[in-house]
Amino acid sequence: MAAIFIVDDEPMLHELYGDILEMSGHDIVANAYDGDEAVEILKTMDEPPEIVIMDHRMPGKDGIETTKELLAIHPNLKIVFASADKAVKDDALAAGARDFLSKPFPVSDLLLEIEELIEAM
Amino acid sequence: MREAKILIVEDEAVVAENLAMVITDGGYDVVGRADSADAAVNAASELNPDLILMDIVLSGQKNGIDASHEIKEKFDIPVIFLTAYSDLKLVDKAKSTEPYAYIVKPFQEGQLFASIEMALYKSQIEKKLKESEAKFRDLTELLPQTVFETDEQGNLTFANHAGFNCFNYTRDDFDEGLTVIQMISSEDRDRAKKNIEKVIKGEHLHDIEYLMRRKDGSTFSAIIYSTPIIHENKHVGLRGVLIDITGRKQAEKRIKDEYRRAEFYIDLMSHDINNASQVASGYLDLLLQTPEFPTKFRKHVEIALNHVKKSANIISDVKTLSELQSGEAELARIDIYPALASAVETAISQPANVEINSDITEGRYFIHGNTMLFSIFSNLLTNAVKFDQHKIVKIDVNISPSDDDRYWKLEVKDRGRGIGDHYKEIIFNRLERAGESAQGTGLGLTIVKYIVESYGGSIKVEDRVSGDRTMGSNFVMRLPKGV
Repeated sequence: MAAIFIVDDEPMLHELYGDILEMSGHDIVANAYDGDEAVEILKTMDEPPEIVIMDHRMPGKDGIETTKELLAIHPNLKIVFASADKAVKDDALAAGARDFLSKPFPVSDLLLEIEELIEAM
Repeated sequence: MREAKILIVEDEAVVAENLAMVITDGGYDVVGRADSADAAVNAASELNPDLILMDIVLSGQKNGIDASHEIKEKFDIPVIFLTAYSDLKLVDKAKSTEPYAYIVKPFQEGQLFASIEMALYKSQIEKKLKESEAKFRDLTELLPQTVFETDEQGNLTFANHAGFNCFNYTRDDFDEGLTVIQMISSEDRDRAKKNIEKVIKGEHLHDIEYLMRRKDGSTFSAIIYSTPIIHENKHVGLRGVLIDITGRKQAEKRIKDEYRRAEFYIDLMSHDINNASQVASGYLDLLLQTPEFPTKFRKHVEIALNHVKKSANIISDVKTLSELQSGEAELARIDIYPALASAVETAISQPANVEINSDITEGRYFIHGNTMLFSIFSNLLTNAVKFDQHKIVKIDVNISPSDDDRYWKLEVKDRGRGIGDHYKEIIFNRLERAGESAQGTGLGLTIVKYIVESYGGSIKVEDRVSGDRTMGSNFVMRLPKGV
């Protein structure tokens, strides 16, 4: 069981990730719809999340920039990219993301990814 | 050049007769005689001789030098002066008519014949030179591009008609003096000066682009090709051609804008469709994982899920193709094996029993390519599996060197339902056929062809068993060997 923060500009994906993860017993502790909002929310959280699911293409800051800023605040965050932009995979990993899920991915891939991150904690 | 036609101009009949005999004996054809300057001009006009032997002192008001002037101007026939006078003043005057020789009487026959031969030969050469000069002058003036020459300091010494039109300068401007630097816009002048120095020192510069400047200050883009002018082993200036590329630039910009627009739409569309596909496939996945979901409906959900994935693949292919076409492929020597191995892995993980036999091993076969090689194999193998109804799908991948040893010939052979002859040609060309009603939805083979061609290779499809399409297909590629 993990505390998860979802960053994505598509509201339906928040709902989907929420449904999938909550069914498996995880907690969605925060939702942000762009990079600036994600940074603001993380700053105000008393208890930081364990895992962040990060979109790449969002209005304003992109996922890579947001990842760098979030990690600057909490270096231990485990950030997983969920993006259709396969081309940015290497940059995302270089910025500190733990893994990269290429949209559209099967539900089982997301759950497996979360399990792996929890195990590594 | 014997048999040449010769006109003799001599006012003393005995001398003329004597000379004619000598000449005829020498094997020449004496076509006429004239005894005065006017008669000489008339005879030259009527008889059109190859050469004129001209006495200088003639009866009448005009002398041989006057006649030569007139003949040179009107008919351009070579003249040899034959005279008893050798004083320098006369020789000087004669010079101005550019005679081919000046022979002082009395002369020896051998000397005369040698002079005649030299004169005939030289006049032939000069005629050819003049023709060639006229030809190049005509071509230069006909050219729609600017042709120009400069001296060592970059002063313009020549410009063709198109050059004047292009820059709006007049002949008067030219006569007052124009420099090549004046024709170039201020921001490009330093670069131009350096290049002009290089050319004058002997470098040939091709394809250099500048912003040019007209007389009224307006500018346009042009490409200049230039080469040094060499005179007596010295570089004395440069000669060049200038091509106005305004039209090309505009077309390039339009194409770039169109590409950018298309890319923007593809980007936008793929991002939004991928998100939508993610939501749809995610919930379908969830449905399948719900234990209460009735088993008899599972198949329907699976079909829906597959088609959502299919639409995601189409988007991904369109994006790949668009990226391939807008970027320059960077190529290097790569091993075929790893790309094939991972494509094989993908293909055999499909829900069918797949057997792939290949004689390609690691570290032996290299081509000039990049990581897109994986897409080539992945598309070909996935298709082979998709269109084969057998319980066990068998695919062979064979490699052999081309006859000239510059290419690897790669064959991917399947036992699927085959491809009709009509489609063998067009199966790779979805884009060229855009607008026709689309057959099928796959862009896979278009992508394969695009990648293969970006490597400098080629691809075609044949029947695996010649003449019997039902036995499956053989995709044959030629990929340049990596060295």
